[in-house]
Amino acid sequence: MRILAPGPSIEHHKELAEDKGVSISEKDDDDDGDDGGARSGRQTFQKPLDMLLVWVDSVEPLTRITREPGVTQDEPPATDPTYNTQNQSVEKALPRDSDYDLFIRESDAYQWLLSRIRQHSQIAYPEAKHSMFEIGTHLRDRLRAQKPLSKISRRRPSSQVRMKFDVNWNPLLVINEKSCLCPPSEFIHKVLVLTGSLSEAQATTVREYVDQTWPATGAPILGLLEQLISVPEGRECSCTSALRLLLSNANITFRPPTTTQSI
Amino acid sequence: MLILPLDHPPQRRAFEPGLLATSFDATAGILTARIVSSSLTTVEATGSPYFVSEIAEQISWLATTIRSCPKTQSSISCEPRVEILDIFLPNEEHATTEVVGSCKISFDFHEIEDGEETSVPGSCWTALLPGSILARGYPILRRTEPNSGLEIPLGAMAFLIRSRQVVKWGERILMKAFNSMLAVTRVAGNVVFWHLLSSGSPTERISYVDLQLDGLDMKIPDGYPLRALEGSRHIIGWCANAKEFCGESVPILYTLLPNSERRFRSTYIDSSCV
Repeated sequence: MRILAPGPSIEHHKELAEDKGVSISEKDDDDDGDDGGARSGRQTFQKPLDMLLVWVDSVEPLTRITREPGVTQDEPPATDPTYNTQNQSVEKALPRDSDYDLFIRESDAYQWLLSRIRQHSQIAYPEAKHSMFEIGTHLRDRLRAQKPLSKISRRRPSSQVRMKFDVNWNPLLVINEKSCLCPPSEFIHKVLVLTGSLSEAQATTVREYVDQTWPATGAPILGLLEQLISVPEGRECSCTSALRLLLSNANITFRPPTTTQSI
Repeated sequence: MLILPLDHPPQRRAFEPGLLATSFDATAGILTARIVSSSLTTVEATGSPYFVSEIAEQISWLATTIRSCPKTQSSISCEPRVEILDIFLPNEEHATTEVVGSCKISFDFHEIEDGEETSVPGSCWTALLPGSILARGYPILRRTEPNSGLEIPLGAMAFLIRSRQVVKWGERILMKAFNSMLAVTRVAGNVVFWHLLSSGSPTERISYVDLQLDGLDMKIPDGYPLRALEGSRHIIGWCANAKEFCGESVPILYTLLPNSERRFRSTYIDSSCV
């Protein structure tokens, strides 16, 4: 596993890297995207395994998160493991590039990594077959191999992916079959589905499973599914993911994505 | 699939999305979908590679679980996979900021044969849900004991055996229907393990003192309150191959001698427990 995420201290990593003859830079990559030139001689910093394990262990479990009033966006997220108490003295003692630090911490890649680490203690594969992992990894590996997606920079917006999925599936067939018992608007709350293996399975509603497995990105697909089974066959529906955290004084509330239908 | 008799959305106990969402602020993402034909749906996702890859996982799971099982008496397991994945840059010369791709998701089906469920530990629950589809290859809530069966909401469990009442009978905790009954065999932390008993015939009533209960090794904490069931996880892990004790020497502990301390105490299940 290679990781470029900021650990207890970027400067600390830098010192370690230099000790090992590896260079690490906090400067932005050149906008021309050339991997040679300015980046020649630079190597990806790889965290030592013991440091990595300590860092993974320090990722906070899923607990209620509160913030004090007046916390600004520049301050580190309360859930960030690198800001645990044990590291705070180190953080204060060393100089930091706060912009770079914040940029990394807010990146999709870093947030996705934290999300998956937290998920690891909550969910497990009941058998050797890991279809979900294979599907996700296959796509991520292929996408990250593309030049615009292989690196991120503060100087330019993140590259986007537009992917079309063809699925041998028609949810309306099921909905029509069950419609006398369950209206489409209640489908995700009332239909119980099975996931797992013969010896270790879980029966959940569609919503429950999506919430537990994809807590951050599940809302848009549920919104889309609700529309998909409500509009006539052949019509297009859309859903814009607008997941935003609304930070109140002490609690975090969740605003579901707004959905719009387009024909 | 099973339609739950709910009047309102179920309570979510294990996860609260409002809290978890703090870990991954998946902002930019657009989804569009269209049911193209009787057997084809297209979904287009635009966003970061991480957003799009999770959408792939989600679509695959939805298309696996939300489909009709062609069998009515047996069950089917289904695994999704990526059959085709094409990725390209629309305008490579200018290092475009958009990557375009197409992906075809396919499914592998496997019929759960008669008898297969009895050969796998903890899997006899499949007899409770004939004609269902099991999505394989996807994670479930982590549990301390592997191969322990089907985790299912309390209300759904009651709905399946057509019962609405949980009874405390002496030291036993039972949910009884006409010809079947669920008995708590163990409580470990906030997980309650149940065993399903049946009279063997749809027309034959099962009793609260059915002899099958005497063969169960029940480990329920002293004074375990029925109300604690509401906030617990529930797992059915019965086994059709359980040893039949009828006609054999039964330990004195499980004889049917009257126990003056046994009293009925019951609680009812409403839809909010599901």
